[in-house]
Amino acid sequence: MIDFELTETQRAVRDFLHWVAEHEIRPVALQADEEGDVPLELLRRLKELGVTLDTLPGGGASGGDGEAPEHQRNRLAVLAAEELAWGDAAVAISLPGAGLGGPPVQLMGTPEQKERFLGIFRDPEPRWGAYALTEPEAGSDVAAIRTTCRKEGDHWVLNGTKLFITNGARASWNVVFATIDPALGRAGHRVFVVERGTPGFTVGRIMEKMGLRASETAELIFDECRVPAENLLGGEERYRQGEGFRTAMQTFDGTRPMVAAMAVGIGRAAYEYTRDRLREELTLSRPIPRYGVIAERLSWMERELHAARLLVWQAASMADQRIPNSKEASMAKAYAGTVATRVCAAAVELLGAVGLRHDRWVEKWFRDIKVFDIFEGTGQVQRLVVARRLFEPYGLRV
Amino acid sequence: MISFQPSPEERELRQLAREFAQSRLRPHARAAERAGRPPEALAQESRELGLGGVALPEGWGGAGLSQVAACLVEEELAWGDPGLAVALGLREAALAFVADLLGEAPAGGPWEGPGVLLWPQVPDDPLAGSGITWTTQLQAAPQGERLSGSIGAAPGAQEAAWFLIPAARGERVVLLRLEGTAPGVERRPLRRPLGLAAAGWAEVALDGVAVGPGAVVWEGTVRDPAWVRARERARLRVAAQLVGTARAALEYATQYAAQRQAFGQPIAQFQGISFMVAEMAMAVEAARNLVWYGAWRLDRGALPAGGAQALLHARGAALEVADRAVQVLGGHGYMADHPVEKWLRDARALGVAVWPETALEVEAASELGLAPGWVAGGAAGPGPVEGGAA
Ligand SMILES: Cc1cc2nc3c(=O)[nH]c(=O)nc-3n(C[C@H](O)[C@H](O)[C@H](O)COP(=O)(O)OP(=O)(O)OC[C@H]3O[C@@H](n4cnc5c(N)ncnc54)[C@H](O)[C@@H]3O)c2cc1C
Repeated sequence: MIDFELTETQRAVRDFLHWVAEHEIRPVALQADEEGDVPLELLRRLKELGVTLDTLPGGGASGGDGEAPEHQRNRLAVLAAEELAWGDAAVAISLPGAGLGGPPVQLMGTPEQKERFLGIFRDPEPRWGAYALTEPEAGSDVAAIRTTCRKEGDHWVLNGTKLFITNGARASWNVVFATIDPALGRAGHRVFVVERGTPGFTVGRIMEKMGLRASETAELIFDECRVPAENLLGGEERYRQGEGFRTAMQTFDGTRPMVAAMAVGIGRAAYEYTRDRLREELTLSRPIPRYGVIAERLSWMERELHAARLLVWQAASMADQRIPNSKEASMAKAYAGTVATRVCAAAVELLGAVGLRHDRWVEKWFRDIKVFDIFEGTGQVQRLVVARRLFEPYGLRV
Repeated sequence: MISFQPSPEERELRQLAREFAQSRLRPHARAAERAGRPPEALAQESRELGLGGVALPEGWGGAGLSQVAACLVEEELAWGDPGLAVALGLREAALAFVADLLGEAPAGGPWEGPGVLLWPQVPDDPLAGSGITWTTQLQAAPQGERLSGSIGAAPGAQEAAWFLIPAARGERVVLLRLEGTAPGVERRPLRRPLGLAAAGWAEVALDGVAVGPGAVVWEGTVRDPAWVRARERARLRVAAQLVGTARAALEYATQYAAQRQAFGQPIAQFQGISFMVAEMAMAVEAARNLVWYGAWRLDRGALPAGGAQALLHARGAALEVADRAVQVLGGHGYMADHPVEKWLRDARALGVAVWPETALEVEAASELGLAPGWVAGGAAGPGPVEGGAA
């Protein structure tokens, strides 16, 4: 059945989160951007309100327990992500919870590990998990990670550096990907949960970025870091057939539509702000050539975002229906990342002087949006995924 | 003769600018961005070199060279750092505007100290297309006239000793020179502008500023050839800066792509990257050629010279090229460790507060005779004069 009607639950979640975005997040967002940090009071408050991106995503990822009868988890997640990012994307990705670290623990963890690492989020105080895969010399090429691990008695010893890790410094634990032997490629990967305070684990730099400045992006350093053997996710048995690498990839499958939805949310914020301001300042109905060009720009912005949103919904609804969606998820991510970036650039241009001012929002959205074409798989990597799926039937691996 | 080779003198001048950009602007770019102004020693050096006033008549303290030469230099300076290029050229850009209106000899001064041309363009624009009505209005008052209005964001306004500011006097435009300290002039520094922060941005509010007869530098209409010439020159300057910004991003990304490894090879060996870099290179060349063409026409007295076209194209190219440069660097491109994220912000900021693309597009169309007649007059000025086909 083709249907674009939101269910009651979906509408309720969207409306509630829009309210939160508008009344709780927006009032703090500009200052958070300036200070490079989201105030803890806001995060506490959001946690109190039950706002999280955690339990929502990845129908497959979080197993069969406690699912709503309609299996609408992924659709709820993208609706939530769009609204929260409309409020502020840096706040959205700073929300307390397991974050990107959640899915691998859910997917691979033993029951004991799930309880130990995910149980902490029942605490009313904000807590974070994080996902540490990227390294200075390995981003898109995940198999090229060089952080090593070796077994010593009942510990594993980790050495290496992780880079650009969202919430990596404040996290209670990081899911860390390491290799027993770089020459083995994917088969050599092991996945650990490294808790804060583990000897040999330190936080390096907090990165200074173009945008999402309120979000913490950390460098993590492992120097003869001794991780208890029971923190190897899933136990040693699991790693017989390259399970580590598959986990890295599965995490992305679940989160790409959400990240795409956030891009749509930022683009929509920029579009709405620009439209409203220009409508206020100009009588766009007058037959003035320039106004025709402005109207065309605005309608183009809206159209592209709408198209992107439908791709996001498509990927999410396929996931809910357990239809393989990696092509659609990558399409949504690539499309949304590209068009939302263009929309924000056009918003700055259309507003002119106002578009450059920090206190007038769109300059921030222009800075924030660019990374949505980069993280969670760059635009190029997404296109590669799409192309692979398209040429598979011809027996071609591109 | 069709040729794209600069003359030996132009080459020498360009080399001088390139070395200054490389050795002096690049190293100071980030610090100047944070400080919101260039270091004084650098400003001093720049004044001594005189690179901001290449096309400014000698009577005004410039080198009196061609606009083509000025564009060559401007590209290099912006290649060094767009924010510093703007910041260090503010005064000369303002003087160039007056010089086009008044001719060789300075008048209406004094023109010493830091000064800046403000562009108080109104968003709701009755002529729409010309892009010329002003948020600043002159009104008759008991003792002379008074000026009121505001400018949302202007580079250089924070520290300027004098402002050059157009205002509407009925249907006509008056260019005024105001002291920064005049009663009724209020400036609020703008913190953290999107880009070009080294130029020291401010919002300027004018509340009944008394305007004596001495303040009027020029009066006319936006269709007067002198005004069109001044406007075209100002546009070409920004367009050349955009080309320089784009070229900086292109070169940085090219080198990075040749060195960065992924999947066992330099990422330049993926066509997803190499094609992107090739597109960037084409965009830079094409934009530069349009700038040169416009500058060449301006030097020959053609009006309009193609400033709208050159600026539109350069703006699109610079945004696209800088965006792709960040993309080529991946996550690293998003970090302040590399200059490409800054160039992307600077590229977006260049000229945006002054010339709306939508107005430039209508204007470029009207120059081709493609806009309704009642717009065309304001947009096109007196039409092509001589030299080259439009
Ligand atoms: C704000 C931010 C937050 C982040 N958070 C996290 C996090 O929490 N955890 C984490 O592990 N990582 C995180 N990352 C890292 C992010 O996932 C990587 O930056 C991304 O995967 C790209 O890797 P890279 O930066 O090394 O770029 P590279 O992989 O070096 O890519 C450089 C360029 O080459 C292109 N390229 C690479 N391979 C190919 C190919 N085969 N074909 C065509 N083009 C190719 C890329 O598209 C890109 O344009 C974050 C990054 C940012 C910026």
